Amino acid sequence: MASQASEEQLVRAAQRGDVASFEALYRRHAGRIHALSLRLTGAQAPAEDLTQEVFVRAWRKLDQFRGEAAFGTWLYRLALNLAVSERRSRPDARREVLTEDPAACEPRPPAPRPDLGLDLERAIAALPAGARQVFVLHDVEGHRHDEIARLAGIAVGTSRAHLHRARTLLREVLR
Amino acid sequence: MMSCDEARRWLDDLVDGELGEALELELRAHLQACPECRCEAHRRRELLGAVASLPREIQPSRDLWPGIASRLCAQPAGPTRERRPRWQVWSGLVAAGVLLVTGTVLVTTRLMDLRAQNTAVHPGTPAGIAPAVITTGLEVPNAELERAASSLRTALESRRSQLSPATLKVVDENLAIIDAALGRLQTAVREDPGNRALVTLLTATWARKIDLLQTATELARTS
Repeated sequence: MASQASEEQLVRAAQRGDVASFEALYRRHAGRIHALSLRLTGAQAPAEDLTQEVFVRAWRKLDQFRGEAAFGTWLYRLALNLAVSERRSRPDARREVLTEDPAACEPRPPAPRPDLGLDLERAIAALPAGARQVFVLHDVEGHRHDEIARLAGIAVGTSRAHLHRARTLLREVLR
Repeated sequence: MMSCDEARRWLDDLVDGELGEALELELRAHLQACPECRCEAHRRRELLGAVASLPREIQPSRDLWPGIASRLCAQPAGPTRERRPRWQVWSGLVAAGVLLVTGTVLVTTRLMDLRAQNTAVHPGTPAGIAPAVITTGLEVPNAELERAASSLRTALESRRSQLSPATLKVVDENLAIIDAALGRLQTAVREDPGNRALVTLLTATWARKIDLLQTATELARTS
């Protein structure tokens, strides 16, 4: 029954504490949130942890959702902030050094086509964390450098450098 | 003529459409003459094309809901029932206090409105109060108070993220109540500028707004 309700009805019911409605919202949005989590973390286990955490936080913060944006958009922003802040809090996040030598951080050799999408996903997952984050946010999710810089707490120039590095590494996948 | 190193540096901006016109012309001229850089630009476009075809959704490899549900059930009773830090509880009490004060303001405003209506039927300035003095006493301080409130509001807005949602909600609700009271008082004072009690109440309401903004800003600063 919950799965047939409109998104707005589900959100309202969940805001009143209805777990079944919240589960229906989870079923609708888990794929989108997990795709973002998986690409940003680069690995299945942390991505699943992150996806779970996003929905637990969303439940706690549901009373703050006022319907000004779509629920999916609100959830996406929550996931984005959580993923990026989690990475920012890691001690190794700021020690990552940009290098101009692609050989020093070459992605795993891609498997032969025909499954280009899968190869590309693997290559994205194998990128250095900073380059992966910027590449996913810019090229996959469509954010601008200034947004990424603000979100990740880096300079716009650093964001551009990460993107350049990621694209240079990933182009090998298409060879 | 642009070198290959320079050209490679600008390729990302070219494929993203973020290159200035002059630089783009120069880069395109280089690409015309340099097959290797042209190939590099082509690969970047291919990469973006491939990225665009990636799925927007990827389902988790297992059902994550049971794990999520178990954590939701660990919350005593739903979305807004997080255990709050002590300062948030304390700030909630402060906000509740403000609500009480504001309620008093509203009731008093209503009483004064009724009194103003009576005064309109029997016009006259309260004994011993010169209208000119009241007008001066009204306009100058209120303009200053308004500026102070506006400045504090800006400070609070920049620190909103540091306050708990529950506190913010109460602060916003109370600010709305105070603003409504201010609006009514200002109207009443405009209609009856000689009414000293209304003027005093208006000034006191501005003071309450400033006090609330100061308290909320301080809470945000120390949290």
